[in-house]
Amino acid sequence: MSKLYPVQEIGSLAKPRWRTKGLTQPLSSKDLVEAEEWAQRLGIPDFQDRSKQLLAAQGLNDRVRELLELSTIYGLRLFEQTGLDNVGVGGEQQRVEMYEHVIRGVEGMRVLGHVQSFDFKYFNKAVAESKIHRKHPIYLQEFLDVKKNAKGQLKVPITGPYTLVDWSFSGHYSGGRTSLSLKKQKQEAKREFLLDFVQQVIRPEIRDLVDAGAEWIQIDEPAITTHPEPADMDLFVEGWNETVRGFNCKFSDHTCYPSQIGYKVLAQYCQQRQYKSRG
Amino acid sequence: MKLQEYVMSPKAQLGGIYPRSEQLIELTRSYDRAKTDLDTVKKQVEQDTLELTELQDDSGFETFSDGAFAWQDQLRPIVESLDGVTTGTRYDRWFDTNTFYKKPIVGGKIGVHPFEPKNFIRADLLPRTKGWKVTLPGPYTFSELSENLYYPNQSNLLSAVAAAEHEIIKRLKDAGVSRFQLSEPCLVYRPYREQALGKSELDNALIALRKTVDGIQAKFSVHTYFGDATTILPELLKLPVDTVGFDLFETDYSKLKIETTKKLALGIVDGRESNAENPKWIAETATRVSKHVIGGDIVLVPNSDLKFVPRKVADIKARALAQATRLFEEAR
Repeated sequence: MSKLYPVQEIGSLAKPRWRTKGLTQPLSSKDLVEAEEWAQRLGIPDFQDRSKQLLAAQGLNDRVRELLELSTIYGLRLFEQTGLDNVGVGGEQQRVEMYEHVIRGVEGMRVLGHVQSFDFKYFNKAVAESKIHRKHPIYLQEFLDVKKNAKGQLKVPITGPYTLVDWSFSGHYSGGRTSLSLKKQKQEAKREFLLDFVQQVIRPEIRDLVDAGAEWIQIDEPAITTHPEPADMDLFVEGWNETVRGFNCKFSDHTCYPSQIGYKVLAQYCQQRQYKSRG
Repeated sequence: MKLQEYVMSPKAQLGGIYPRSEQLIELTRSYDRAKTDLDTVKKQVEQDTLELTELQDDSGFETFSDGAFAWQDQLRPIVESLDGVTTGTRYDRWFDTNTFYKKPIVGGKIGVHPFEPKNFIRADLLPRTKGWKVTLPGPYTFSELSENLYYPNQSNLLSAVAAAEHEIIKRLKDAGVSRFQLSEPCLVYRPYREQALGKSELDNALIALRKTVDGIQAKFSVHTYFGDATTILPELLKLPVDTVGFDLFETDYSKLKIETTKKLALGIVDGRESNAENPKWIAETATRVSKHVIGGDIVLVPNSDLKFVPRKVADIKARALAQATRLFEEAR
């Protein structure tokens, strides 16, 4: 009997120091002391072989590849040992964060500069400078590593198109008709941008993941609960249904940091969305 | 000649928090990681302030903002000047943006303790020949965004905040500030509330605004953003302030007919979008809006703080505002 509330991983796990350092600099055996200790705790029997390969890696690309796969294995084993019912992708060890990781894989988007998030924390914000399309697969390699190494049930979190659009400047997507009010022009622009993000970036990505064996994709949409207005909720539903249409896959939604009524309004719109598609 | 013309038609203003430069961002991040000392950060804050001053000077602004580069969020300097209010570690989202503020927690009777005007405005870096402007959250918005653990109801809290802001403004006026913008986005941005703004709540907000500015010989603007101000504009125009502002990207002005002797501050460049508005477009749009206004004058402003766009984008928008004022004047 399946659990009423299976315990799931939903996001990123803090990255170990050796993983962060190794991304930009060669590692020494001293850097891997902590990794060795955790290998014993987490039960990673081939750690010695893997660490030798990591230290011997000559080029940056080879080192990074070894590093990301090993770090992913640590995340998976930690979640498995903790007893999670679903281990996700092992704590998103192959991503820097949820926004820029995607944007850098999109042709037509340009990172414009930093905007303050809070205090001395900032995020890089991008603008659509032309019609967008996907440059290369964004989450596929991570999923292949996870699939190869995981022992439990998987779920692939991806950043949703509504959030990517909401956190970007629309630029090229200007809403066209100048006879509309400025507010309506902005809404039109957001719709054009969103539907292109769905068609040109997110659906091709989901196609790759499903073809590679993904059975459950979690779409992260934290931006929607900050826009509980009907126009945005309708747009979100339209984007969601278009995103998942026709895929043989289970979909779930993850949101966080809502406005006061964000979750309540989202719940009201849930019945209009598809969560399980069959091709 | 062109520069002189700019100076002759200086009806544009900046307000609120201006985005930090990439250099300042890098230094603050480095400071956060304990790799840069605070003095180095402070020097860059001064440099950012001087650069913005120069931009406003070159563009012909008459009333100068200092950019508030050291402010961590729109509420923080007020919180840090008050007794009875603290911030914990809880951050809340700033309306529907992807930015956050430290939520003020009201745990005792609100009072104003001695503070340095420098916490609010870098008067030492602004030209004495110009007016100085400080932007504060209005009492209604401040009280709405706070957590009240002390006052029996929201109305009492609002009144206490208004009294405290009145004291702060008096001290800043004595320090040389000539114009204050009281930002009241909570009057028009309602999705976070289940109820529409009721008459008694609006009345309380208006009473609080009157109390805040009462008897202070300075210029005041009340500015709304992130929501449609159409329904409350007539009430705001009755306030004892010389300027009322609204967000043109949210407010449908097509049905407005405004008869007033006050200035209307049109939030006409979008602080939440990177597209640089063309000065010609700004002037034409302002002209269209002005057809709905009888008697009042127009001031061109950003719809909100420009902190939501990167610095280089904000600079382009600020210059476009100034250029548009000249075109607007020519077209009248």
